[in-house]
Amino acid sequence: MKRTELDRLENIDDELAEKLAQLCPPLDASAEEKLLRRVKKGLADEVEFEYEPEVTVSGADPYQKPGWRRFASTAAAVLLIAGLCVAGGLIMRKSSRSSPEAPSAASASDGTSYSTNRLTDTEASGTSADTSVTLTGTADATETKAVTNAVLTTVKKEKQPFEHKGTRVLRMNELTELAKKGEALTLADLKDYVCQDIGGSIYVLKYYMPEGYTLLVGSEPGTDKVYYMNLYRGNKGGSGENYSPEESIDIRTGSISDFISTVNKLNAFKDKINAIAPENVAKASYNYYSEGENYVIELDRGQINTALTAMKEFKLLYEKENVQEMLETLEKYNSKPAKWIFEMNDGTRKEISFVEDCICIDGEYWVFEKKYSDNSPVTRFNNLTTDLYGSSYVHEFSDQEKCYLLFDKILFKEGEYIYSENYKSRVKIKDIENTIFEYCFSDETLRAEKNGIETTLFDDVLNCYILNMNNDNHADFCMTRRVTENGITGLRITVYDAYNNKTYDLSGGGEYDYWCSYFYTIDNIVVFEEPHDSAVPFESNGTMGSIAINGDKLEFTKEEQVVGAEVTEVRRDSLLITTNDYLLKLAYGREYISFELPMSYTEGYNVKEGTSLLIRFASIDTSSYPYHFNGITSVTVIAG
Amino acid sequence: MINKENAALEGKSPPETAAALISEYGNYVYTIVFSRLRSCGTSEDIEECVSDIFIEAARDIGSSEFFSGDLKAALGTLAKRRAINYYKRLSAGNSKRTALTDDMDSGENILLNAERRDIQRQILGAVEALGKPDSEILLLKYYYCMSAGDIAKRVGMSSRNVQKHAERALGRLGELLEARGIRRNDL
Repeated sequence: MKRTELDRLENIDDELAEKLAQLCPPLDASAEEKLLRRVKKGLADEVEFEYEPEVTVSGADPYQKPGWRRFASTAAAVLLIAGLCVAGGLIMRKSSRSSPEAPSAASASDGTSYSTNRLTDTEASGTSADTSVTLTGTADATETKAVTNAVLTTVKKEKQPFEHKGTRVLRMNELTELAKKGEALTLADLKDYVCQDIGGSIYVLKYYMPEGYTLLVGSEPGTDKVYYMNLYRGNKGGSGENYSPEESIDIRTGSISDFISTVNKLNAFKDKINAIAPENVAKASYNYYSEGENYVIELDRGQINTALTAMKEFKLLYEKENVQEMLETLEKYNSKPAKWIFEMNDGTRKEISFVEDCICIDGEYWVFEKKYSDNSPVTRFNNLTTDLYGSSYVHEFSDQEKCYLLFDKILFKEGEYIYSENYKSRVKIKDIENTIFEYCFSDETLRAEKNGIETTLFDDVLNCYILNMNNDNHADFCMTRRVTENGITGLRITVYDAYNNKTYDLSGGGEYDYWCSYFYTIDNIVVFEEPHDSAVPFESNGTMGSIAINGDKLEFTKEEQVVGAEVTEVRRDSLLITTNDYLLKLAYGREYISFELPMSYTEGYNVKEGTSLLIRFASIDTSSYPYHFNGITSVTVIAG
Repeated sequence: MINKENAALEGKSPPETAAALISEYGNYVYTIVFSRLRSCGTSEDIEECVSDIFIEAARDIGSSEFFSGDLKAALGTLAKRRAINYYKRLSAGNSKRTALTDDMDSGENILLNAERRDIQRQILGAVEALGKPDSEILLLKYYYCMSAGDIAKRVGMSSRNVQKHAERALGRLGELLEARGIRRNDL
C-alpha cells in the first residue's frame, strides 16, 4: 500500500476522530446496515447462549437481560408453520436491492422486527399470499428488563390475490424467445405459465424452471406495471438466500445466453475455490517476490480462513491491497505474481495466484469483469482459455465494432513473467496495410507498428475506443487525452482517423484545471461534459452525449440525462415557507447534496419520503442551493 | 444523571438501541477503532471490534453506570479500550509489528503527543481544505484503503475518475502541507 501523509492519522484523539468522521464518514448506508445486522446477531447469540434452557412465550423472564430473541425465534417458528411463502414475501418486500422489490439476503434478518409496543393479537393466516406479517417480540429494556409478551400479528393488506391462470411450466427456451421482446415484455406474455406469488405488498411472481433457473417478476397489483423480471440461477425466492447483483439479470435488458454462460463459469470457479475447505488445509503459505528476493509467509488458521473467504467473494481481486496488507506491505505491482499455496490434508497441493486482475487456480486463469455503471458493458465472468505465451495477437477490427477496453483479456508470458492485456488493444484496420495499432494502457500511448518500426502517435492517452466516427467504413480511434497548454493541464477528446491520417479535437471547453469550468471525457463511447463543480456526482453531472464529425469539425451533441433519486423531504406550504416541492438525493450520489423538485411533476402520486423517482432532464443548475434540474422532460415514480 | 440521549433510549430493546447508537455514533466509533487497528488488523478485525463495542453498549446501556453520563464520551472511551485490546491480541506473535502506542497518553510523552496531535490537526485541516469530493476520495483511497471501484460506487464517479481525483488530491495535499511548513520528509 502506498505510504502517504495520511498514515500519520493513526491513533487520533476523540476530537480529531470526530472531525475525521465528519469529513469522510467511513460507513455508508450498506456498511451501517451490515454492522447493525452483525450487532443484532451478536446480541441474539448472547441471549441464546445465556437463556437456552428456559423459554416461554408468555410470562416474565426472571433474568435481567431481555429474552426477545428467544421469543422472536419461537414466533418465527409459528410463522414458518403458518406459511413459508408469506415469510418469503415479507423478505422480498424488505429488499434493499436497486430493483425496488427484488429479494436480498441482506435484509432477511430484518424480517423480524422488534418493538416495545404491545400489539393486539388478531389473526394468523397461512394460506394466502395476500397478507403481510409483522412479527413482534415485546421487550422491555427499562429497569426491570423483563420480557412480558410476544405477539404474532397478521395484518391484512389491500393487495388482491394474484390470479393464477397458467397451466404450463415455463422452460428456458420459451423464456429466451419471450425475452426477445425486450422492454415490450409484459405480464400478459407470461399468463400461460404456472407461477407463485411470493410478494408482500406487491406481486413477486416466481416461475421456477426445470433447467434450474428462477424468474422473479415484480409487479404492481392492479396494474400492468412491471418493476423487474429478474432471472436467477437455482431455486430462488426462499428465505435466507444470498442474492448478489452479479447473480441475476433483468431479461428485458440483459442477455440470457451471456448470463447462463457467466453463471456456468462462475460456478465452475466457485467449485474450485470451495474444494479448498479450510478444515482440509494442512498448511498454507503466501509467496511473493519483491526487489529480487522471494519471500514466503506461513499463514495461521485465521489467515487461511480470511484468505479463502476473500477469494470466494472476489475480494482479493478488488481489495487485494487490504488483504495482502494483512500479511505484509507489498509492492503494488510485483513482476512475478504473488502466490498462495495450500497443502491439503490428503497430500494434494493447490496454488492460487493473481496476475493483475486475473485469478489463476492450478494453472487455469479467470477474470471477473464488473459492471461499474449503467453505461458500462455488462458484468461477465470469463475463463481465460486463450493463453498465447508471447505470441502477438492482433484483432481484426470490424467496421462497427466497439472496443471496450475492459474486455477480452489475454495472457502473455515473457520468460517467467506473466501479464494480462486487453487483446483488442492491438488492432488492424481495414485497408491500412502492414500496420498494427496498439493502445498501451500502462504507457498511456497510442502506437503504430509498420514493418517492424514502432511509432508513438499520441502520448497521454487515458482511454481509447474504436468505432467508425465519420462513416467512411474505417475504424477511428476516440481518445481522452491529457493535454498541457500554457502551463494548464486539461483533458480533451481527440479522434484519430487513421485511414485518412487526420486528427480532430473537440473544440470548446476541454481545458481542465481547478478554475476552469468543465472538461470532456469519454467512457465506453459515451461522452461526458463535466463541469468542474465536482461536488455533484459524476453520473448526474453536466451532460452526457455523443460526438460526431461534421465536415472538418468534431462536435458534441448533448443528450437527455436520466438520474434516479430518492425523496428525502416533502416540503409543503406553511406559514413560514411558501414552497411546494421535494428535496431529493441522487441515487448514486452522496447524501450531502440536495436537489429541489416541484411537486407538480408527480401529481396523482402519493409521494412521500423514501420514494424513488426517475428524472429526465437537460442539465443541472448549481447556482443555488438546493440544486435544481433544468429542462425536466419527465419524472417517474419507480418505487415507494 | 441520565442525559437526554440516554432518556431517549430508555424503553428500547437492545436491537433498537443498537440501531439508534449505530445511526448516531457508528462513524465516530468506527473512525476511532480504525485509526488504532489500521496498521495491524484486517477490515474483518475492525468490523468485529466495532460490532463488539455496540453489542456491549446496547446490552449494558440501561444498567451500567459507565453509560450514565455523556454517552458519546463513554462510547469513545469504550472504543479506545476495545481497540487497544484488539491491537494487543492481533499483534501477539507478530514481532515485526511495532509496539502499540497505547501508552501515548502517558506523562512521559506529553510533548511528543502534543506535536503529533498538532501535525494530525494540520493534516486534517489540509485535507478539509481540498474540499469535497477530493477530501473524501483521498481519505477513502489512502486512509481507508478502499478500492477505486468501491469508491466510484460510493461517490458516483467512474473508477478512472476516482483514480484521477485521488492522485491529484494527494499531490495537492503535499503542496498544502508544505505551505504549512510540514514537509514530506518530516512525516
